[in-house]
Amino acid sequence: MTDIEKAERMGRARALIMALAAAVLIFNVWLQYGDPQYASAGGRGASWLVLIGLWLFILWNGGGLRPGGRVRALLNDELSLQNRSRALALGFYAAILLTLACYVGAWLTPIAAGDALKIVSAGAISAALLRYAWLEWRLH
Amino acid sequence: MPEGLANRLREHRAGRELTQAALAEMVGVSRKTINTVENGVFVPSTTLALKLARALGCSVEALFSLEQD
Repeated sequence: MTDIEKAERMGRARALIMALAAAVLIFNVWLQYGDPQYASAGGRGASWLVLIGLWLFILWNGGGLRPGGRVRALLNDELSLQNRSRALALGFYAAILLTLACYVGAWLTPIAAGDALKIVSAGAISAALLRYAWLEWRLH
Repeated sequence: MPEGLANRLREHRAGRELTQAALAEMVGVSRKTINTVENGVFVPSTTLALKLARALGCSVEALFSLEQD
């Protein structure tokens, strides 16, 4: 298998994994919403930091940590970098909109700070992951 | 495609009997990048445009032009 074929295969897998990760993040927010245990100091609270930190890191460097230099370069070529920039821009807008939604939502019903921060962080990361996954997937 | 930019990458590639994958290999990008440039979905950087021109043995102007030209 050539490096080009390897990169294509890994690119498809990356897009799929990112879409699945977005779904898992959203499911986690839904599952943990209103439960203070998941936002308190301790293992459960820290697991959220690890989860968000991990996907933020992957979004930042495009994943593909394992493969060698050439395949990695092909995975993160010009087009992929542009797609990532577009995905990160959408994530930023999603964060702002979700912050506003939480702000307005709190007028109607109290929202714990931990829950609001989870909604904003998961929503922003998920939006970026889904956008990146879609932009990459549709080109294969 | 951004307004006013035309490209003749497909014609030049086909003229040299190269597949998208082969051209991608020559310039060090993925096949989907070549595909999107050919379809006008993606506008390559100057660096990539120069690499494409060199790989195909022609000038950048032969590959890319403004539509009104």
